[in-house]
Amino acid sequence: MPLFDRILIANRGEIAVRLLRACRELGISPVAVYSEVDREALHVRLADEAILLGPAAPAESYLNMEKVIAAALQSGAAAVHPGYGFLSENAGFARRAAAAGLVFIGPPPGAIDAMGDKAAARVLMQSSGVPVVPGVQDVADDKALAKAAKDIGFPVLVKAAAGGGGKGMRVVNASADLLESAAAARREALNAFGDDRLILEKYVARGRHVEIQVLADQHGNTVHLFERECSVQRRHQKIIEETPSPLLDDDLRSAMGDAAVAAAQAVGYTNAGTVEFIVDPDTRAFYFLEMNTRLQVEHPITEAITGLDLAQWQIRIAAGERLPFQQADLTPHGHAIECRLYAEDPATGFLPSTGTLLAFDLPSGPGVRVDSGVTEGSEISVHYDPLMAKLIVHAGDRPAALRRMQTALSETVVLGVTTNREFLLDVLQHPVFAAGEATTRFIEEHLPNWRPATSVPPAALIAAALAELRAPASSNGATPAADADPYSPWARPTGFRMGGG
Amino acid sequence: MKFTYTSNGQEHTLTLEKHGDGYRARIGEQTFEVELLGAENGAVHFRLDGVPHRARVALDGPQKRWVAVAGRTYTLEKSGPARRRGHDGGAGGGQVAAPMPGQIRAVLVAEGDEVVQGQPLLLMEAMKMEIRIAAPRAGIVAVLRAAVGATVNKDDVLVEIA
Repeated sequence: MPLFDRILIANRGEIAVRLLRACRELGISPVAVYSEVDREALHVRLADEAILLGPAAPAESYLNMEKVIAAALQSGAAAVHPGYGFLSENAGFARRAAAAGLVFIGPPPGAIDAMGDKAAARVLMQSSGVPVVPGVQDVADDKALAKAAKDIGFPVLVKAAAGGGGKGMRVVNASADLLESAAAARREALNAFGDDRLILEKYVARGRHVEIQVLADQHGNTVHLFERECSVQRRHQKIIEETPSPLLDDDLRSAMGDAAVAAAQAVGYTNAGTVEFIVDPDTRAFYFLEMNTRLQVEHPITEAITGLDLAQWQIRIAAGERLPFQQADLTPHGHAIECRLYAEDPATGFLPSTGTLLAFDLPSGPGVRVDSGVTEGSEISVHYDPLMAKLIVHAGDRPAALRRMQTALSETVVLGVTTNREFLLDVLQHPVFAAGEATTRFIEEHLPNWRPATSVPPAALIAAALAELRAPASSNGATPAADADPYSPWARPTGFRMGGG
Repeated sequence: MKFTYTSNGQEHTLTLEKHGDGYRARIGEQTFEVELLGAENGAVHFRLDGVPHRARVALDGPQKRWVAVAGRTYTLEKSGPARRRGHDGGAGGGQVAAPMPGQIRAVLVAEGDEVVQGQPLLLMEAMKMEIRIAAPRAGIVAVLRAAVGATVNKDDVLVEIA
């Protein structure tokens, strides 16, 4: 079956670059879209054609369905890949793309809808034999809510039925706080989603976040590509992922894999998707949380251990190809870890940081992969997600992968923008993480109030002074002020050597 | 030559003087022999008491310096004779500065309003995060430099409470 001639990539940053590369390797011409602040972005430079959507605000650019579809039609693309975030889990967009004659590279809109409503998904999963967190999805009034919470037992989690992204979500530790928290969650849910229905669930306080990658073609074949553990999170967002999970054994892996396949089949899923579970490490019971009906940020670690290119398979499945393997043919190899390099300051509660990348050195070597959407000189703005790059390592076993990631992070240099690089290094070196025992509360329990090393070593001061001597810093420019001193070594393209170095 | 850098509120003074083919550096009571091996494209390669070091240095405006050496990154503020104003505590006292770059979503007070400690003053949003900015102490809103929809930088003073 022929693949598409052209695909429009409706995204930006590292995922747009990653999808561009998948297109190239399949002989497909990639088309990029961009907002006014992304004119110079890497994904724009690498595409065959790039179409301006509009101003920086997502609603006027990457989230604007009409503009994205018009760009696809204008470019002559046959299909649209939404990446993650933005329009990726928007069933309305999938339908409009189809109505415009474009193939949406993702699941059918009905599957997105079915998984998007958390309350309906709970019911559907239960009836499909997929374990869900003990709880209730229809709480008519405060009285019913109080009774349900008592039956489930505290702590409980109240969350928006229509929700996602931590909005409208509250942990309630005691019955005295229940009604107030529920009212606040309803308000947030109504603001964010226009829907104030709540779900009440048992809160698994020290759970492990383990998700299963699934892949389904349009011919009825659904397989899982094993798990990813993503327990290390801040503000309900992942920062480190690994596979295999240090918690799982073959029995649990196979039970969770079967449950994920059942979940996907229950909604008629096709393409790549991820079923998220919370696992209680004490009882080893696992519960369905939600299904992400798109490619995940952390998909590269699954690619590393399976040798499959998920982005390419998304395209091939969308074009109607059949999976040439079955579950029994799949075996994971080695251990893979991903660290997300964010423009954020872990010392101030992970607040986003901005600036110009004055230096950006990325690691390389055997088993090291970097998916990056920025380069030296790139501007990190306030408009979008602060993910700059993902470092992915693959090695024979977990200890070797950990060492490889430490080396990769140590080689990484980012100047000009504050990042979480050193925080990531400290997580990797923490004995609880090293032992494979980190839960979703790891950061708040083990690295609260984290601060970077405060003492400045002589070498740092001397390096700064030497740079100063060599490049009189009279300018405001971000680059060394070579023009200020014609004899400055910074000015010479061939560099500078003295003292026989 | 004398250099003064501030990092995390701590001041470090360094003197660097020519010494043979290289330099002698003095930091407090300590002295170091420094041999410059190379400096190109923002990389500084030098020997410190015989031990080789490879650092990346970026000059960020007239005062801010970024240094990566031995796997760690440092930000230094160069104190020159040029100016030392505006760095006396930043958001100390009644000044309320933006904790992150972003957009003002809501302004909850007006100039002249009396506020109590902890009272929300502004809502800011950046990169999908919303944060509430509260009064650091009780007082009167003397200056308000925030309008709904405005984009602000980190450390911009948005409100002054007298």
